[in-house]
Amino acid sequence: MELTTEGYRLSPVSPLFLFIEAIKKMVLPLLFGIVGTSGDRQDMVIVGIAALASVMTIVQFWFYHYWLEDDRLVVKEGILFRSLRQVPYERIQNVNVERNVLHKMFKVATLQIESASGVKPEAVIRVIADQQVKHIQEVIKRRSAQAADSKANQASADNQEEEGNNETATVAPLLQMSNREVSKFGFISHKALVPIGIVGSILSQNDYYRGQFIDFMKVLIGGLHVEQWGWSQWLLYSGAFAVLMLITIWVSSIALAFLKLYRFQISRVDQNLHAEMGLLTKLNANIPLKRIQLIKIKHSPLHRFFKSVSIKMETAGGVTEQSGITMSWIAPLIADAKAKQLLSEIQPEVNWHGLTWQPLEARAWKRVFKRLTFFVLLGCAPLLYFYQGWGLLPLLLLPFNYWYAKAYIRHARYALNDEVIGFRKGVLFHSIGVVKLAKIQNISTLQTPFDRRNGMARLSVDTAGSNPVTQDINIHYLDEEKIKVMVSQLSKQVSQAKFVW
Amino acid sequence: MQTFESKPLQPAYLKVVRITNALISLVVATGPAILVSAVSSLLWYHVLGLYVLVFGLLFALQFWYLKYWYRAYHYQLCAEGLSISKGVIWKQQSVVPRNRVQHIDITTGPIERRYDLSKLVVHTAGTRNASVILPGLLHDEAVALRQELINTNQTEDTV
Repeated sequence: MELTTEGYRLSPVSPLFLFIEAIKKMVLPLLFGIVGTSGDRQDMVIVGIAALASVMTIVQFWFYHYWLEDDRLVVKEGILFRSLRQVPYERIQNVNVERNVLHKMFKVATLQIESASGVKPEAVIRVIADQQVKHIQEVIKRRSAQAADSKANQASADNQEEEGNNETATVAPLLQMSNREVSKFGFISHKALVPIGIVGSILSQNDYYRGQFIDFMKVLIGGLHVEQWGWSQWLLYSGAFAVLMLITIWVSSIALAFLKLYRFQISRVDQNLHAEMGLLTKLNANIPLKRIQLIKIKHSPLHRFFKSVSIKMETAGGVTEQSGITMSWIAPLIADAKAKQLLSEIQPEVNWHGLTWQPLEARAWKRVFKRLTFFVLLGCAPLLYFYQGWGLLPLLLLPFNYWYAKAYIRHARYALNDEVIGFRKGVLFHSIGVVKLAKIQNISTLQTPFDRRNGMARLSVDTAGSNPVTQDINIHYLDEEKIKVMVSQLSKQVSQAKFVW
Repeated sequence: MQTFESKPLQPAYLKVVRITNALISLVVATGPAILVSAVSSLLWYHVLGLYVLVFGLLFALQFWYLKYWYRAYHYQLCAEGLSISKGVIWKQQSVVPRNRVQHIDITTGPIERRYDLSKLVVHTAGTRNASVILPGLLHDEAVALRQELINTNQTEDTV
């Protein structure tokens, strides 16, 4: 392979950051596990080995080089196992820049480049000077735009769209979150619930910390004499404890939201979405608009209370929080009324205001009800065996089942037009998934025996980088004739639209 | 652009899956036999008889079921793309538009090779249904279908 330009190296302060990253990935989980359980001496040996391995990773700094070629980015790394990676600019999906307090002190940043492939990011450049980050971003932007231009003469629906909107930088941000909105988001998200639960359960497993906690509580409140409590005291104390826990969870969730989303701002620069956020660790993300595969709108009872929604997107390539920096927000929190306006600015070719949502088959509520009732009866069977008559108590759930089945069918909706396909589901927690037809990879239908008996079928579409667990577009409880029509319409439209990564 | 109407798989493929499933049944049938001989004190030829019985049952069941499975399996190449429908109890249909094909593999197993059959695996960029499998094609048929899908793809795709 011939390289025409000069290679770059990492910033001289890089080893520090590589070391911290290695500690975070290897030593901390081990340490955490040990504090949580036994805390024996021999475990320290394992930590020692991990620490040594972390030190070894610093050596990778000396062997990390990258080039900015005319048409691609080249990264060379490794000592024993060498790798040479070439990423064409036009294939780059996302460019994420991360800066925490330490980065700012040294005026450097971590740069992560994602393509559509695999779980791991294509390149994580940790760390380089700020000016260099800017330079790389510039090059990627310019070169990928050039590549797109050279292909523009080929007639295609997608390219025409792009040319239509080729106005220069709209600098005003599409969305800016105020501190108030960030706190609202923290309140809605309950992000701290899981970490607090984990820490609580780990600490309660450890005799030493449990003892400490009980002693601390004794000092704080004095002797409680639980054995003498009447029911009113139980009610009072457990109520107070519940309120205290709720407040703790809310306050820490809001704190977490501030750490992540402080001064969240998303703007559209040419054909790219540009997002900035974070308090201590600043994240800077750049996502080409045409790389958006799926848009997901979430709506919970708490969202409803604040009359707002959360909007996420999926891009091709499956970098997860474990394997790299992720940024999938379009709007963590936005007023319900403004959501469509924002989406129209991001995807002007889609008529977000005029999307007509159609209901599922009304008769399908019986199927939902029957299914729920079946599970209730299944649960009854062992209870009947052990507790006789009392085992019928779960039957009290039947009215709830009836309500849920009716509500589920009433709330579920699908939309299909020349541009997009969408599906909306959920009773209390709504989620809406919308995919542009040009992004569909594969159309499949499924008919279960129950579907067949009711003359129904289900339809799902697959997109690049879609989450296989949540299946955002999986339209069920729909008449099989309608499904047939939809499949032929969809396959025709998809085969006419060119897929652009 | 070449197209064809809904086609069944090669009849020989029914034999192939029956043989494959018979081999699997041979292994599965050992389960009950081992279990029974472990918990009871049956004589060895009784256990052997049980093994043969279970195997016979499994074999008959799959032999009977696969007939319907084979009948339900159809594929079609239209202007839009490759469409495959299958399933006796859970009926599935999937459509892969021509211009969404990323790459295509042809694989051949030892039993399939005896009957000159091959399996076509069409990959797309999706995640959940990223690869669509079409078994039971004559090897030449599979090669021709791959060529057809790749050819029509190249004319319109620039990615």
